[in-house]
Amino acid sequence: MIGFLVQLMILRWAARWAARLAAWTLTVIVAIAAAPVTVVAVTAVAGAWLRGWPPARLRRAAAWSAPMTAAYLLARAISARSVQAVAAAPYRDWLAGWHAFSLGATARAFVLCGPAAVPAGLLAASWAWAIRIYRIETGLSGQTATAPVIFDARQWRRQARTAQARNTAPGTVPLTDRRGRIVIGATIRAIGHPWRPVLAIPAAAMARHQVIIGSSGSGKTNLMIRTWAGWYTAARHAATRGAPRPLLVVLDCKGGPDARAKAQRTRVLLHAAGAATVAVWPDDASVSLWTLPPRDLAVTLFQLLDTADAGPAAYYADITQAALMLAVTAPPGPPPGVASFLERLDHGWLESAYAGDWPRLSAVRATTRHLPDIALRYRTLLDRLGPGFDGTATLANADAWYLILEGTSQPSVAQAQALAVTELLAHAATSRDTEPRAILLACDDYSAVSSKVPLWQLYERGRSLGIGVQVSAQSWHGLGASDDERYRIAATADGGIFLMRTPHPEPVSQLAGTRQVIETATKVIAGGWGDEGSSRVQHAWTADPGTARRLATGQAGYIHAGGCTWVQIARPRPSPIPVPAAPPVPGPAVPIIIIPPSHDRDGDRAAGPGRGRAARPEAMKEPA
Amino acid sequence: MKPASRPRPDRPHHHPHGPARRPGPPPGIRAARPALARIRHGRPARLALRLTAGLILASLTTHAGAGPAPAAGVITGLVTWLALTARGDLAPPPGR
Repeated sequence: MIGFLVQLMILRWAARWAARLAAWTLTVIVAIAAAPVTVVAVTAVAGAWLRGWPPARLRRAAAWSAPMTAAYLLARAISARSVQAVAAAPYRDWLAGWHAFSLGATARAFVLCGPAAVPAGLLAASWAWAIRIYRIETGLSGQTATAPVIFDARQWRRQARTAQARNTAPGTVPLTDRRGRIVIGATIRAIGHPWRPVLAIPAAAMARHQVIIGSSGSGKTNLMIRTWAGWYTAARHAATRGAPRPLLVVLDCKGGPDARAKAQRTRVLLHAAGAATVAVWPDDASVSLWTLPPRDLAVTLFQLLDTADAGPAAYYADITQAALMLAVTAPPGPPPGVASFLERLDHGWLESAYAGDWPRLSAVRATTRHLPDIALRYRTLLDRLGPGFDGTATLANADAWYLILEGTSQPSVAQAQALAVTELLAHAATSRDTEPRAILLACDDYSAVSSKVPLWQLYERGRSLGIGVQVSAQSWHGLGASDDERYRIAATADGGIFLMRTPHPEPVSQLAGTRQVIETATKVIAGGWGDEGSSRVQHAWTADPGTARRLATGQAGYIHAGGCTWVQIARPRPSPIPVPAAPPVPGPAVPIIIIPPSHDRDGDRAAGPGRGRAARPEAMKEPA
Repeated sequence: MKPASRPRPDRPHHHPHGPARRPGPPPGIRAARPALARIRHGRPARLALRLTAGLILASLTTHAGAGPAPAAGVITGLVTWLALTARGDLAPPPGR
């Protein structure tokens, strides 16, 4: 009985090995017979392995080489004029190729077989490479148990290197592609997204909300500047086809010298993208807070002050609000500037303004006792805010604004400024007197100034006003004060989330979700693989937090629609070819922005007839 | 004292409503200018290398003696490869 069992086992083992041997022999025979296809396939798989290409890359190459087969068959059809001859042509040429190869004419052999062998070989390579990746990743193949981990790490390194090399080609990573999408950089790896050599996102994604999370030194600035310039370029092209003109408003909420350098880079790039006026506030441009509608102005001025809304102090808050409403909505019209506003916080002025209006006159008398205190508070506040809000321009008077708020050195002032800017932007978006604009509000490190206008509020307001909002934070915790607030912001980022290197990426990874993978466990006997094992479906991160922690500078994951594309961000560079001068846009000739001539000098080698000072209308000068 | 200058009779006549417009370049050159600028501001050396390689391979193909149909196929493949890869060597178009 035992002998029979032993014989049975030996027979089973022999049969299995015989079947394997037969399969290998058959494969070798086919590979030799189709040697040209085999050579192309082996070369392509080796290339894919060395460059970290995914199988999709080989499939694209196969598709692009199909025209050579088509041209070959067409030429055969023209010369033979018979369907049978055309159908038999690849076989005949294959035979001729073998003959030429045996005579030592390798070039002739390749030319004879190439038109059919190249697409077929690339297709076979993509199939073989996909199987190899699947077998390694699922644990069905590999010499050691750590093979999947080693394979993944090695392929990531190669993919990143290839993406970096792709970014160096100037024509591969322009600001926008031919379809008007914003180019971010070369793809490293795509999970749950279709693989493309370069990641490009539709400009409409920026018109919704977008979140960028990356710690200091992760390359966040490059990414943000690229998306701003890309969005501006795409929106400007859309404007030539009748869409609203773009208006980019950047809030740099940290301030400091870095902000100035960043503003300068942004300005150069936007000028190259066709923006005529790029205003840097408050360094060389000012904006008028006093252009707000009177009631909105009164509310904004009230919100700028720190007031209590409960307890005995609420009484004084109400008095302040009443006095402001009286001063701002007085019969002569809203105050045109700081001096005029402060002048109105005087009982004599208010009494003469409301002479004859008995209900309001009595309100003026009720507030008389507090008016000197209110005037003092506002004098101090407006002094601290600086002259940046006492200009004559509105946000709509420029193509782009770069507003620097000193959120690190003067947080309370920056918070008040952020509030005022958001009100001005809301006015620019909703005003019926000005032309409609496509607006993008980009907030860099907004958490530094978010106490007066929380980020979620900014988001919801932007949504209702049709303004695209892009927000960046150095960490998940920088997005909001509570987890509720952070999730509210991240979960509503319809335009996608850019995840860069950060020590706590798990909440964002959770939002990206999981994908199903096969995990195989194989029994190991005496240091070798045994016969037994099991496979099961498991869930793996779509945006792996471990990968996010290990990202190098300039690498990011674009999370959108349940997928994640890891990308090497290309440094934004303007096209060195000058933009043709745009026709002048009719509009009110409002005196606007102070831009010293020196600003277009630095590094703007793209300065041309359509950009910079040359393109700026004469009206764009600050009045004396 | 310097005497006031008078218009010399041999000077070209200018239109009273503004300066005379110089005739521009022919339309063909005007159309080729952006492409030339893209080549100049891109990676011209690499592009030249790519073109040279393509030309050498095309020459080898035509002289391999494989017949017109396979040669047409291979040359189509070379042209496709050049068209796809040479774009990366050009500078982006203006405003992009």
